[in-house]
Amino acid sequence: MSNFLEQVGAFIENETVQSLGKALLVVLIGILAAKLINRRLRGGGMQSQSHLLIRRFLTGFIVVVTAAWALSLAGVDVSVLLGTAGFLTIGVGFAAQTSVSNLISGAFLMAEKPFKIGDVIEVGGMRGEVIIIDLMSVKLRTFDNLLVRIPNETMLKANVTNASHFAIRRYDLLVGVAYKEDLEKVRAVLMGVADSNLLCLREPKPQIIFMGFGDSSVDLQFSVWAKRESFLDLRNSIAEDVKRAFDTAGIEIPFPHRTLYAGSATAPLPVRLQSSESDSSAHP
Amino acid sequence: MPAQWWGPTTVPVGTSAYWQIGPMSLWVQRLPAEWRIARETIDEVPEPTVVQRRSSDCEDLLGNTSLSRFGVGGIDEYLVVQPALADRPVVSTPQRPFIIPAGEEVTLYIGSPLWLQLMVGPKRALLEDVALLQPPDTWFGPNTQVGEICYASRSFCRLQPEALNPQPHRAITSVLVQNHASSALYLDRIQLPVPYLSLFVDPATLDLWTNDVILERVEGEGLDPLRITSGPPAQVPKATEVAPPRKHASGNIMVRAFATLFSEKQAARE
Repeated sequence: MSNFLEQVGAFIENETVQSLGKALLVVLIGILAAKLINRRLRGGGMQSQSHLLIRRFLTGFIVVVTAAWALSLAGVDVSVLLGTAGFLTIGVGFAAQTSVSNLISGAFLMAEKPFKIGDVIEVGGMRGEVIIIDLMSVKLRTFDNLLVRIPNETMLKANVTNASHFAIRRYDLLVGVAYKEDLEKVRAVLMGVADSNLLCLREPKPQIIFMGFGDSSVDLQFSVWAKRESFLDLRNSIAEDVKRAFDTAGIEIPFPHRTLYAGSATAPLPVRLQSSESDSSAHP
Repeated sequence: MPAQWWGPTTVPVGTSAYWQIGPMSLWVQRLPAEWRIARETIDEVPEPTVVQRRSSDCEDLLGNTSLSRFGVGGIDEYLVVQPALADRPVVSTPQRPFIIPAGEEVTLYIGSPLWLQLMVGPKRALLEDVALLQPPDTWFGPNTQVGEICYASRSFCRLQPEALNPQPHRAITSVLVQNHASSALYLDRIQLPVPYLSLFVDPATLDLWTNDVILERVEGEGLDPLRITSGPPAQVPKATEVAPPRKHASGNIMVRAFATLFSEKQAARE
């Protein structure tokens, strides 16, 4: 028994074992510190994207410092490892240019905050709801329920339209009316439509803007405002209301007219009128 | 004088109740383990109307597109019908804009839309909270970036209370506007934060009123202080409270009560 205790004592007094024990202790402290910081930041109420970024950075930092310290205590020459790591970093840096660019772009996006989770944005013709803002990319859910991953570098370079930033939005309905129509009457009918549609805001006031004399119609822009949440409903309902009001008021929405002219060198196009009976007998 | 339409009542299982309150027709049915509520609203009301009917049977409401069904345990027949003010501020306009010179004050009477709340059971579980006549939305602010969504009052604000025809779906607020600024106030719209106001009833006429409000216009284009007087309105000192405010102010209320010529500025910018 005493022999066994002597052996254990000698083992503990062994320098290598002591170094390994210290290294193990440092690793344990590192893990504990990383967990503590993670827990503290998780409950901090920070915005998710910046929260995630800081958590990952701090965790990485603690892992690197702890590993270097533990290796040093275990008797490994860290300077050699760091030198190797430096060369490795250069190699990885060249290989990971895009990732680093995305990472830095992500940091800029998080600082600038042009949108937040839940906003509806449009980037490069892609429109959807922001569901994740990550270190490397932003993920959108399109309205046909597809997941689109857009790298942060692209987000930073592209024109981003945020449809959810302001509380109200304007909808411009292009309306063409026949040349024979009285524009004052058309104006009154359109204003009546805006007045009777509850989704249409009373202020800012609806506007009717003359757009030009078109090929077949007098073109007008009917601009109405709606709450952001009601925008789609207004867009659908106002067009129906305008059509119904024009029909009731006898205002014509013309379709494109085309006049055929055969030219002076050729004979006019022959036109033959047929009665309905002869028409039905000619085409049974 | 229209009848009183609010208050606690009972609808035993297998029976139904009907109300017409101004523009709204309301059907309430009590079925085993279920409340059924249907409503219809018309836009124009020729004259103030309140009708109440009871029926010992339940007609089929399933074909009604506005039908709402609420599953409840037990056979409790207790129902509370209660009026309430809007859940957002109300914006009212005078028939023609007018000017309040510096140092002057004027009392305006503003009509606000009323909401209908239906609560059931001993815990007063809220089943419905709807406008008796849905008011249109409007934006109130100096531009399209700064401001808030409000309801637009369907009636003009008046300088005499008699000019504001009382309706069962509308409450009247007396607003004293004091121009403490050194410049004249061009009043083309006014915002009233009705969620902070209580609702009172005039026992003589059954007209609904809110607390009196004092709005001070101070120097600058920022927020203006608003004071809500406690108790019934000065016009109807015998009025009793029928509904508490939706929101309770913790301190002084500051509101953007007066509009600038927003639409004209906006049009010029386009």
